[in-house]
Amino acid sequence: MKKFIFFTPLIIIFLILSMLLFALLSQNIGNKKTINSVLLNKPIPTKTLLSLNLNKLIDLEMYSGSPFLVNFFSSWCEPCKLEASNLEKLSEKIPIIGISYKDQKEDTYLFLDKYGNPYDEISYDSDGNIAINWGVYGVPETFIINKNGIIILRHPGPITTNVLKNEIIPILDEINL
Amino acid sequence: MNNFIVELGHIALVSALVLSVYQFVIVFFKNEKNYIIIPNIPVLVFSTTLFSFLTLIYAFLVSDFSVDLVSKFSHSSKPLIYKISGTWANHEGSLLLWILILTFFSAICSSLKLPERFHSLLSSVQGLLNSLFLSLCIFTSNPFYRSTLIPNDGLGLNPILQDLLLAFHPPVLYIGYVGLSVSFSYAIAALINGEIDKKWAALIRPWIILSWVALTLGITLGSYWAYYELGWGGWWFWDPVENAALMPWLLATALLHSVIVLEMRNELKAWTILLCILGFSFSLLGTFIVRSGVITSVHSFASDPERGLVILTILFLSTAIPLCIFALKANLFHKKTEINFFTKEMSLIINNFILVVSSFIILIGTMYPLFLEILNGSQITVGAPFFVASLSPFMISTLFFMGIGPLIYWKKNSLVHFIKIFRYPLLFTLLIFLFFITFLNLPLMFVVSFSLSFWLIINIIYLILDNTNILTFFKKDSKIKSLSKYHLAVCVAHIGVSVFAIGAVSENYFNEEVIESVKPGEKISIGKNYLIFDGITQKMGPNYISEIGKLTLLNIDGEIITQMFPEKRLFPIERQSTTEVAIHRKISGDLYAVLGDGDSSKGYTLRIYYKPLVSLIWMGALLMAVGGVFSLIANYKKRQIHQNI
Repeated sequence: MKKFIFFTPLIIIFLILSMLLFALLSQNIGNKKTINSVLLNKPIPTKTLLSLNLNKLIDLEMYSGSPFLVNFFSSWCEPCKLEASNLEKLSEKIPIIGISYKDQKEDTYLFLDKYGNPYDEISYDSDGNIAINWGVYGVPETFIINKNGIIILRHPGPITTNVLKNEIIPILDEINL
Repeated sequence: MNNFIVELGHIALVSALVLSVYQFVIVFFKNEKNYIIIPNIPVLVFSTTLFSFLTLIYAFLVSDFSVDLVSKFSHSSKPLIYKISGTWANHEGSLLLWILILTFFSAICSSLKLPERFHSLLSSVQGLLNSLFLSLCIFTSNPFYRSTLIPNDGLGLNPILQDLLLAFHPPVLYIGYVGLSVSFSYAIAALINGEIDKKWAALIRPWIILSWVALTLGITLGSYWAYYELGWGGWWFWDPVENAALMPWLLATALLHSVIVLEMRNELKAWTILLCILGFSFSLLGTFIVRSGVITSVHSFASDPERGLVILTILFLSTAIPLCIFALKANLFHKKTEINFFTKEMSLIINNFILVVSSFIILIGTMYPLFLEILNGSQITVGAPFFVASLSPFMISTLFFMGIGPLIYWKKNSLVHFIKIFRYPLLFTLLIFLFFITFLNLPLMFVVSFSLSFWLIINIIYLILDNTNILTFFKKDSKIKSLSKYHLAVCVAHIGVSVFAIGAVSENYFNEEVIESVKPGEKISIGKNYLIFDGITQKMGPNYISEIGKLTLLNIDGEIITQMFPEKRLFPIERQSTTEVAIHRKISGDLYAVLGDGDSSKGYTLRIYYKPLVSLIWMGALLMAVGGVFSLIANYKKRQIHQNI
């Protein structure tokens, strides 16, 4: 029994490591809840973005005055395909700025052709620098910005129908009042 | 020519791997007759790695964009210093830097005078570590990888990383992380060798202090960078990357103290060995969390699952095998002794316990979201509230025990003696506490931590007075002594902790924040003072365009105190902007201004923070590191004396 004590660190570390292995191998597309961010209730970190075809600057200031949505997406991201139809629905209610994250431009265009283009404007974040500024974990990730340019919701993960119904729509209703 | 030099670096890296495999296996063939003798293998491994690292720096310096890494993280217009620091501002290059330090330490160890069997075991363990990390570098993160298409110019380095402090932050932190690998290999070699005693503790102690000092400095640099560069107005955010550095620091702090008990009293053998192993494992765990994207993979997808798998394998090998040996060699630790309660060793044990529990709390906080997600798919985040709430009781009580430890004796002590030493400090602390609680209406937690910080300082002062005989000066036969180096180290480091604690709690309880949109000529009030916004000017930097705001700080009587120039920089190549915070520093607190976006007609968003005593946080951390350096010097002197005898 006494000797057994000396095995406990091994067992604990083993459990931790197997958990990490499991996390590494499982890629999980669940419903994501809101994650608090340092940026929540703060002004948006970038105000000007370069558009996807690089021919103009998108001035996010132009959108302030009314709420809008910022959505990080990528053609290589499976859940982004899942949320495409819901974003389409959302785009009827609120302008959406898409930011194509670490992607090839051609692939982004193909993706938009295939799954629809819900975006008012599309910007291009080839190396993830914009995403760093926004504190993005990964794609897809969506931010709702109110009319004062303050981030009021951050949603990592796809906008599933559930998320749309239970999280996004209530907030939109709230700020449209 | 450029191509040739870079290829040479690549070849050097591969030969470093071959040599370090040799360094690992040679111990198994020592008794055979015909083994090939190559002298100074660890030194050779280091020199080849150094050469390879220098060629990578060279590739960055001449902007050789045929190297994939250079094209991704550099740009021909970048200032020279950031071309160099760009070498380690990415995964591949920083891994090479890590290996460079690893092989350097292993080369140093090979030149130390150590018992022969222990020395060859040590060299073999370090050879294994070298080969594991060199394989990781060569096979999954090769910095010399060439791109098939050579771009005209590079993508540039993320502007927030273009900072002088941040150029030094990774190397210093890595010295700390990798320094823990030395104590790790010392522990394994000692386990196999079967000799864990006072001598071993004396040998390992300088390494522990060295890595502790480097970790302290590295974390401080990082925290200070986050404070003035990110413009979020904070100095610690409890994100996984920061936690990854804090956990090994806490364990190293525990180890730093437990090894003293081992050296002085021949106790805590198993515990010290375990801390040696875990200290390094935790710094690897940190690397894994940061690099594999496993924590972010919960929220999206691992950036590179394959690389994560390799790091996890290394983590597994370097943790499970040593812990197995640890468990099997448990008979080495068999010893029954009683430790009296009112002794130095007991206070050190209690502080060790607190430090280790704290680092496990951080581990749980960092891993819990992952764990819950695996169990039931639900998602939560553990943020600052969890860490602050669960850690502060431990941190506060550690202040209390830190005040006791340095003053009491080893082995034997009684309650009476204990009370005799601590009656005045206790009384004084109680008075401070009562004064604050009755006359100033302050939060209880603040008052408790504040008075305990003073408790620590009072005890340190008492220690100084007692050891220099100033207290008994007026009695007969008493001479003033100078403070020993060992005590000086203890005093400086412990005062550092209390200075840090005072800064941290004050900042936490009394910071103020104002966010306002202002037009030129308008004013913002903060605390007793107010700021007038005078407008914006534009300027060109070397590789950016900047907007500079001008703020005039006035006191309540309308007298000008200072002018502040918060700045926003737009980097056209990286298509990104950064904020340059304007900070008006005073010992009593910082005024911190961040310029947001806007124009002169609609007004600019300005964020103003007042952070009382915030500079004490870094000053305290710096004092801790200085204390560590003193202790290193004391150790070195002691060694020299021993050698001369």
